[in-house]
Amino acid sequence: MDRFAEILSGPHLDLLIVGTRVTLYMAVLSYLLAFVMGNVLAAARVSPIPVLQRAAMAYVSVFRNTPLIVLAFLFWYGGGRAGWPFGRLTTAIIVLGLYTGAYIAESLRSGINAVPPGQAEAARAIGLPFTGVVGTIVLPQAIRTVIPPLGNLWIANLKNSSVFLVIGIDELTRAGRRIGHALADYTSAFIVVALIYLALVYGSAQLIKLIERRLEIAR
Amino acid sequence: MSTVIVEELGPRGLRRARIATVLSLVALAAFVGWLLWRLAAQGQFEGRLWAQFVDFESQWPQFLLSGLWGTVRAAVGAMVIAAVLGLFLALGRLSPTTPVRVVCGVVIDVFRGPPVLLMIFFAYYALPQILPSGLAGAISREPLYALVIGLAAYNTAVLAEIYRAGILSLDRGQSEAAYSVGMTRGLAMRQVILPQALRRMIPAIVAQLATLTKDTALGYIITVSDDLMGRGRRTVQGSPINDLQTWFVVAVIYFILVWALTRLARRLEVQQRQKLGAGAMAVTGEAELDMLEEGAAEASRAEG
Repeated sequence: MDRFAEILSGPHLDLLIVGTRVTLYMAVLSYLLAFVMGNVLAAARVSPIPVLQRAAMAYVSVFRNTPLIVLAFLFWYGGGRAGWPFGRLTTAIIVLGLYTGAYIAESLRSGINAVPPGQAEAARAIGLPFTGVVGTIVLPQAIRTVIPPLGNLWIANLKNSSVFLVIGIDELTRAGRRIGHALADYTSAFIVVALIYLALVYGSAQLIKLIERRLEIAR
Repeated sequence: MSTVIVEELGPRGLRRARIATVLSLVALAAFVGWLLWRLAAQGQFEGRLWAQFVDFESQWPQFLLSGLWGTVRAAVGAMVIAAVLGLFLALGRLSPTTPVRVVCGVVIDVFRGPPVLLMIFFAYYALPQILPSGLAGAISREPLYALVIGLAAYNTAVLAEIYRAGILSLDRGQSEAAYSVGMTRGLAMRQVILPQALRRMIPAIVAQLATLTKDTALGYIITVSDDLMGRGRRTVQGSPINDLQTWFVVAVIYFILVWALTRLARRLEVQQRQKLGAGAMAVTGEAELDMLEEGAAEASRAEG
């Protein structure tokens, strides 16, 4: 117990606080980028334009089937040799956003496709224009079905941010390693870090459930 | 392919679609062209930077590719351990004995909550401080063990949830019928439920294997040297300075491996759906599992 008191005081506590803050900062910004990417890609996937469908499909496939750490190296070290203009943290946020964006695109697409075709047909039959079909009939239903997967992706995104300690980001997992090294007690340090992650994940899950319940419609 | 939103296009729509096709082709070509031009301007296409990867005399391609064996070994090792332990954890999670159920539930949540990288770090840094020196030495000498242990710990919890979802997705009538002919709980589980449930889970398990294979790349951080990433590190450290080329080649190898697994999972899932109808498992990977608490029960209700 002394050990935990030691971790939760003085410079070690500062490391944990900064680490948590950096992790959350990365998670939020990269998720915003991912959300924008996901929308653009999903729109391309459901568009009637084959070129855009193919391009979005290729993007999703590449980013989903390549390890995140390899992507980080490709952009940070590889790009670093070829004029990549961004710093560490910005690079981390961009790479994580591009990665999670591919997953968000898939969730959004399946959400849109899960709306029964009869809904859109009925909307067209009563004469709604394209924007009306999409904006008032399809999307409101699709959004409800994609809230849980989008929430899960927020959590996955938060957890994946740990990978970027490899390009020198001082996030939560790295803080744990530094504290463990300083105290020569990795076990206690990682237990504390794990508890912080669990709190973040659990808190997120509760929040997502709340949003889900708010948006629920009686069927 | 028609989607929900877009109906069959009329003459005007077709014309618009054609214009959009041309415009997006131009935009895409411009982007790719600009990217290639930038890379070329930085000298990234010079032959000497790429020569290593096709020069089979120099052994570099073989050296890099043989790392694939280390990656596959780590992935298969972790998967086998996780598949066995995960099953026990899932059965414990579904146990009628409250303490067993609660403990297994907590274990699953605790192992699945933090990032997999933290599990790998725990195995690499913390375990040697806890374990007797013989085992500790083994991990310190061979970080691959730590990688396998970390991946196995995390994936045991993930697979336990997949198993549980599969078991819960079965119609209640199956277990009721088994009990009514006098089978005990254990016998019904072994003879009736698991054989059906396991078959339903195969697509999800293969999909998780793809995720796990991607995660083996994290071994780089704990200095695993005999896998693809370790070989990549050695290539980068040599001359010429070809970070971009090396990680590109490594990325392509990983992509092929993981893409093949993903595709296999997808195909198995489609087969499964055709065979089972609407009741097929829709769990395709860990991302979908994160809030399974109500999910499994809901899914079987909604889809059944």
